[in-house]
Amino acid sequence: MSPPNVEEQLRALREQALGREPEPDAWPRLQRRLRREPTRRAVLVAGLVLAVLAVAVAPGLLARRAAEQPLGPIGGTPVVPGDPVVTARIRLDRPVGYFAVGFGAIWATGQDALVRIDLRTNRVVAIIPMRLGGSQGGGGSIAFGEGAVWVTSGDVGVNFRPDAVVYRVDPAANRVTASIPVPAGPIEVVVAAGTVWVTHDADPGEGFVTRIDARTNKLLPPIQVPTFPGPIRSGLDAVWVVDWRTFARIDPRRGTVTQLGHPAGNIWEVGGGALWGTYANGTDDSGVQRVDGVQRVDGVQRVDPDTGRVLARIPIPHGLSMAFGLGTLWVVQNTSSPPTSLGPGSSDKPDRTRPGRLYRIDPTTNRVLGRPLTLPRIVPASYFGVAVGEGTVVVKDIDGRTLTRIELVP
Amino acid sequence: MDPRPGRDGELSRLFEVHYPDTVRLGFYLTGSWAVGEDLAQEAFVRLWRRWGRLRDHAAAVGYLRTTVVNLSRSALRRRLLELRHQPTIGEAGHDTDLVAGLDVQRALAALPARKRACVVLRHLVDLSVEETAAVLGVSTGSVKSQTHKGLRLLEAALAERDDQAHQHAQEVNER
Repeated sequence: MSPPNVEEQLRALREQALGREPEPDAWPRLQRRLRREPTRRAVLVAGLVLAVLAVAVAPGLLARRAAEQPLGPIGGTPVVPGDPVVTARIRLDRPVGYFAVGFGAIWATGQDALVRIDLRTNRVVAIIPMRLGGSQGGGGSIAFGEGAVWVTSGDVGVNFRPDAVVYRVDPAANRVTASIPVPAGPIEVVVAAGTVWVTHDADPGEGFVTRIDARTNKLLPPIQVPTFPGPIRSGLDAVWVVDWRTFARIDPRRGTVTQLGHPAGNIWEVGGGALWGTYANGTDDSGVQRVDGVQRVDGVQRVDPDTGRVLARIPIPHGLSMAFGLGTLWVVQNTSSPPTSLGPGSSDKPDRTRPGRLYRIDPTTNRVLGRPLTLPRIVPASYFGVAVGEGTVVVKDIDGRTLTRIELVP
Repeated sequence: MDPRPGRDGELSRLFEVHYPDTVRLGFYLTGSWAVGEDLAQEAFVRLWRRWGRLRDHAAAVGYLRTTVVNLSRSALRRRLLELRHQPTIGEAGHDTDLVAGLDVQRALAALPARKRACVVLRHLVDLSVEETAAVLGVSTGSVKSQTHKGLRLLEAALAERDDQAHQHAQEVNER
C-alpha cells in the first residue's frame, strides 16, 4: 500500500474550505456583540464579586446539608419488558441542541431558549428565553433535580462569554428563577446530593468542577479533578467526571474525589451497575484505539467502575449516542456513516437514505434485546442524540428540528 | 459603537477582507466550521478592544491570526471529543460540518497544538516561515522543525487509517 500523500489531502481540505462562506449574518452578529461591550466589564466584575462572595460565605454549613441528602437509585431499575415502537414525531420551529426528559416534558435548548414539550400532547407548551452559547444558541446541557430544571449557558467554542451562568428554571411557572454566575464555559451539568455539578469548556475551567448548592443557588468550593473535565454523570452513588485519559469518581456527599481510573476512554452513561462508552484508551484489552492516534469506533464498551477495565464490548458500529433508562442502555446507531473512512474526492456527505437504528442493551447479559428499531430518519453523528425518562425514549433527527418518541409496548 | 473616530470604519473594512479567511483558519484548527465562526467573531471583538494599541493594518491581521490560534486550543479540546466519535461525517443542520469527516481533518486535530498550528499556517493558510513564526511568537527554525514533524505525524496517522480501513474491508468481505 503506497504512503498517503499528505500535501494532496491538505490541498483537498483547503479547496473544500475555500468553497464555503461564513454565515451571512456574521457582520450584524459582530455588531450586536460590540454594542454590548461597554457593559461587559461591569458584568465581569459583578460576576467575579458574586462568585468570590458565594465561595467565601457558603462553605461547610452547606456541605453538611449536602451530606444529609439522599441520592437516587444506585443500581438502576429492572429491565422493563416490551418492544420499542415509534409513538410520535414532534416537529419544532427551530433546531435544538440538547434535550432531556423530566417533569412530564421534553426540554430542549435552541436559539437562545429552553423549549418545553408536553409529554401528553407532544406540543410545545413553553418557550423560555435565556442567553445560550454553543452552536446556534444550543446551550450546554440540561439536568433535573431539587424541583428545578438546570441549564448551562454553554460555550461558544472559546472562553470569553462574560455571562457564563447556570439557569435555574421553575417547571411549575416555566420561568427562570435564578441565573447563577459560574466560571467561563459551563457545559455539562448533573444534580446529586442537593448539589448542582458543572464542568467547563474553557481554560479557566480546567481541572475543577463547579458546585452549586441547590437550596441557596450559591457556589460551593470547587472540586479539583484531572485536567479537561468533559462529560459529567451521576449514578452508582457517585458523580463521575471524565476526560480522555482518566475518570474521577466523586463522593457527592463529602465532595471529594475517591477514585481515579486509568485509562478511561470515554464514558457517556452510567447505569445497570456499569459505566458505558464507545471506546477505551490505550492498548489494553480494548485493542481499538490510542490516545494520540486515530481510532475505529466499532462498538459500545462496558467499563468496570472500580477498575476502569473494559468488561464487555457490544458490536454496534457508529453507536454514538447512548442513554440509560427503563432498565437498559439505549444506543442510537448512525447508519448513514460508511463503514470505512473516506479519502479526498469521495463524497463525505451523509447517506440520507439510511435512517438510524435504536438498540437496547440488557446490562445483565450485555446483549442486544430483540431486533433494533429502524428510526424514521437519519440521526446526527453526535453523542447528544438520545434521552430517556418517564417511560419514553426520545431521539433527535439529523436536522435537529424533529424529535421522535419511542415507547415500549407489551 | 465607538467614541474614537475611525475604529468602526477600519474594523468594517478589515471584516470585509479578512473575516472569511479568519473563519477558515479557525475551521482548519478545530475541525468545526461553527467553531471557526465563533473564533473569528471573538478575534474581531478582541481586536476592537485593543484597537488603540495596534501598530497598523498588518498588525491587525497578525493579531487576528494569533488570537484564533490561541483560542483554538481550548475550543479544540471539546471538538476533539466529537471528532473521535464522528467516523466520517459531521452533524448537518445543527452544526453543519461536512468536511469534518475527512481523514486529514481528524489527523490534524490529533496533532499537538504547536505542530498543528505550524502545518495549518504553512500549508493551508499559505503563510511564509517568517509570517508563521510571527503569528506563533517562535523562531523560524522552530517553525520549520515543527512543520516537518507535524507533516510526518500526519502521514503516519493517515497511513494507519488506511491500514485500518483495509483491514475492516477485509473483515467485511470475509463475513
